[in-house]
Amino acid sequence: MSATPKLTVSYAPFWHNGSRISKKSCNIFMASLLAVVPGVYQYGVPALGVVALSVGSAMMWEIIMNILTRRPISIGDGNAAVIGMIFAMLLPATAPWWIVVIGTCIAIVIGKHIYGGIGGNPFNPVMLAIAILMLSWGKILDFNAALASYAFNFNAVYPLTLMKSFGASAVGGISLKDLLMGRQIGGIGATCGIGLIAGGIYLMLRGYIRWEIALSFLAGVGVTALCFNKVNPVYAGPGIHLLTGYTLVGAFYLITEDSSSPVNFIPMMIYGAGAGILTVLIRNIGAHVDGVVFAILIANLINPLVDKIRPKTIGEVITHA
Amino acid sequence: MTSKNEKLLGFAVAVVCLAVGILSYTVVPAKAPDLPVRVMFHALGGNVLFDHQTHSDAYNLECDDCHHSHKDGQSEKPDACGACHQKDGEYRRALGEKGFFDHKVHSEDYGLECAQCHHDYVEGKPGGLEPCGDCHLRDSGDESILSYMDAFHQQCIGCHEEMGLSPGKSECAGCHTPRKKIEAFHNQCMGCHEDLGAGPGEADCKTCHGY
Ligand code: HEC
Ligand code: HEC
Ligand code: HEC
Ligand code: HEC
Ligand code: HEC
Ligand code: HEC
Ligand code: HEC
Ligand code: HEC
Repeated sequence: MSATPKLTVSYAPFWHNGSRISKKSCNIFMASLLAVVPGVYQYGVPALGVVALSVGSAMMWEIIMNILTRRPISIGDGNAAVIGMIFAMLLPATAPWWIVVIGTCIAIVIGKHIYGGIGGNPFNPVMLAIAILMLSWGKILDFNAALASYAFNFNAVYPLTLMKSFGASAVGGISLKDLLMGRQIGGIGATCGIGLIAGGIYLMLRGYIRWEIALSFLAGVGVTALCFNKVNPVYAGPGIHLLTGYTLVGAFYLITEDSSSPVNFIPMMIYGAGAGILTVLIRNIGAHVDGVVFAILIANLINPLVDKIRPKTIGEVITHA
Repeated sequence: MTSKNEKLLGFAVAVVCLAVGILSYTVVPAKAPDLPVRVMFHALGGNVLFDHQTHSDAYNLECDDCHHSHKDGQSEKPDACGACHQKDGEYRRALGEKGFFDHKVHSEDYGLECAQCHHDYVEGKPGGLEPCGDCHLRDSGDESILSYMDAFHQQCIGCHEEMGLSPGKSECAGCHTPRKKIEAFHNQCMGCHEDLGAGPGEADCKTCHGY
């Protein structure tokens, strides 16, 4: 046998070429503004502070990690900024500064760099960060408590809390149009349905996110919610499940994160739909008010497994005697 | 764009964002409004989200209907109930064995006549020393006779204030220690709802708890 190294080609994830990442990051960042700007308008300066600090501190952690691991400074690719932005979308406008800074630290350091940086992370860094914060400082991320000082001209109770504790009848009076227009409480960038959907459609059309994953996730949520609702009307129907909580932000900005999601058609469908089904299962019969975070983390966990379902290779492997 | 320019742009974005973030947090610190809009009580068995604004505006309630300590003059402004009614607080009656009222000292040391308190008592005649609660009932609905609480408050506090002594009207805690937090809230919230026939009462735990 010759000792010359061979070119080994592994399966995804692959490392992207730098300039394409920055273009992609830029597009995702801009698209997210469609949902974030209405949120900042609704909650004012505190929300602006959370968004700016989140983006800024995520980039700061990126630089620090670059220096510590002696790698070239990589904030130019925009990935850290996107992580900061998406993280801010999930937070209440009143999140204290230290929660923001700790959160981005978890996302960038534990979520991304420990696994070797961009492309290597098995879990969505933002999901990892928010899950850890939810388990450690749940009260701060409880939207009902966090936003108690805001007076609104709509029902200021988190719709997912209403349907979890008080059943479908408690959310019966909420119109889907209100939810689309952002007349609900929630994360800074998670409530304005129209903005999220517009950004999502743009990103899918341009190919920056995989429509297969996003749409199968939404279908998973919708169909499961419908089944629950048909079997027992105490469970809310699909409309409200799709337009509240982290569902839309999850479909277009979280579950589609590259390195923690599969690349082939069937695996993408299984991955997206599975997370959608889990989301509603957790919401309806699990312990948490919203299921998106843990559903996506669990989907990340099975990603390597479903990604094994892949097209037959052309040709044949011949073993020489 | 070259990657060098991207890096510069990255630095610029990071610096601007950090600056805007820090400014927003420090210049416009999240200030609690003067009046609470909603109050979240974290409780075992389900949090309670109390809509303060709706209660005081839409339901036309007076501040003092709830902030009794402000009405009594115990506190200058409407204070948080939890400041006095603590989680592990223990309510002590004024009378009785563990009470603050000392019958022996009042009747023997302060030079008071029996009849100053036992208003039906006449020296040398039998009767007139029955417990006050025999006649002053908790809720008799009879307008001509003071209720249980008012009979005591009027007499005890009346004499103290007349003589310029404490505990007076605004010193409730001189005669009773404030009851536990849960009792203070349950009694007041459900008491009012049941009096007015509106809002969740004894049978509707799940309407309040579950947020
Ligand atoms: C009108 C609204 C209301 C109703 C109805 C109500 N509660 Fe409460 N409950 C409260 C409030 C307010 C608190 C105070 C929370 C705190 O301790 O800060 C409380 C506290 C409690 C606590 C104490 C929790 C702790 O952490 O110490 C328990 C237990 C409780 N309630 C059980 C019940 C049960 C059982 C019922 C039904 C019989 C009920 N509640 C009905 C409003 C209500
Ligand atoms: C239906 C009862 C109710 C009414 C009416 C009401 N409040 Fe309150 N208020 C409360 C409760 C309960 C709290 C929460 C106390 C706590 O956190 O322990 C509170 C809290 C407050 C606080 C915050 C206290 C603190 O230090 O945290 C202020 C100030 C206040 N109320 C002022 C008012 C004023 C002024 C009005 C009249 C416009 C009013 N309230 C009417 C029940 C009421
Ligand atoms: C400055 C201290 C103080 C504050 C503040 C205070 N209380 Fe009280 N409260 C007392 C004391 C002392 C008593 C008398 C002892 C008792 O009955 O527990 C009392 C009595 C009560 C009672 C029983 C009397 C009755 O009328 O049935 C209730 C109910 C009550 N408080 C509820 C509240 C609520 C609700 C709040 C907040 C809106 C509040 N208290 C704020 C000190 C306070
Ligand atoms: C400062 C007011 C006050 C004075 C003065 C006073 N008492 Fe009393 N006395 C009370 C109160 C209050 C009670 C408790 C009533 C209750 O439990 O309802 C009481 C209870 C009693 C009881 C027990 C009643 C029962 O069946 O529980 C007797 C007997 C009694 N007093 C006799 C006297 C006599 C005799 C005097 C005069 C030497 C006197 N008291 C002076 C206020 C007073
Ligand atoms: C036998 C029944 C009875 C007993 C026992 C009784 N009261 Fe009365 N009390 C009344 C009646 C009836 C009135 C209203 C008529 C009146 O003014 O005499 C009254 C009136 C009062 C008043 C208002 C007096 C005024 O000047 O307007 C006070 C205060 C009072 N009682 C306190 C007490 C206290 C404290 C006790 C116990 C030490 C007590 N009562 C025991 C029947 C009773
Ligand atoms: C007729 C007048 C009078 C009446 C009625 C009266 N007191 Fe007093 N009280 C006094 C005097 C006098 C003192 C002594 C004050 C001092 O020395 O500072 C006092 C003191 C007290 C004290 C302070 C603690 C102590 O023992 O030194 C308490 C508590 C008290 N009274 C409770 C009560 C209660 C409860 C009632 C009603 C059942 C009541 N008092 C009715 C006159 C009265
Ligand atoms: C001078 C003493 C004194 C002061 C001050 C006083 N009380 Fe009382 N209170 C009594 C006595 C005596 C009773 C009769 C029941 C008992 O033993 O507690 C009573 C009864 C009550 C009751 C009814 C309890 C029941 O079992 O039905 C409430 C509620 C109450 N007081 C609240 C207050 C509040 C709130 C304040 C302050 C504004 C206050 N009290 C101030 C002496 C006092
Ligand atoms: C002084 C009277 C009063 C007090 C005290 C009071 N409430 Fe109420 N509450 C009302 C009234 C009046 C309504 C209106 C009910 C309606 O219009 O259906 C109401 C309604 C409610 C409702 C139902 C609201 C809805 O949308 O259906 C809740 C929940 C509630 N109150 C919680 C509380 C809690 C918790 C407290 C104690 C911290 C409290 N209330 C104290 C008078 C009161």
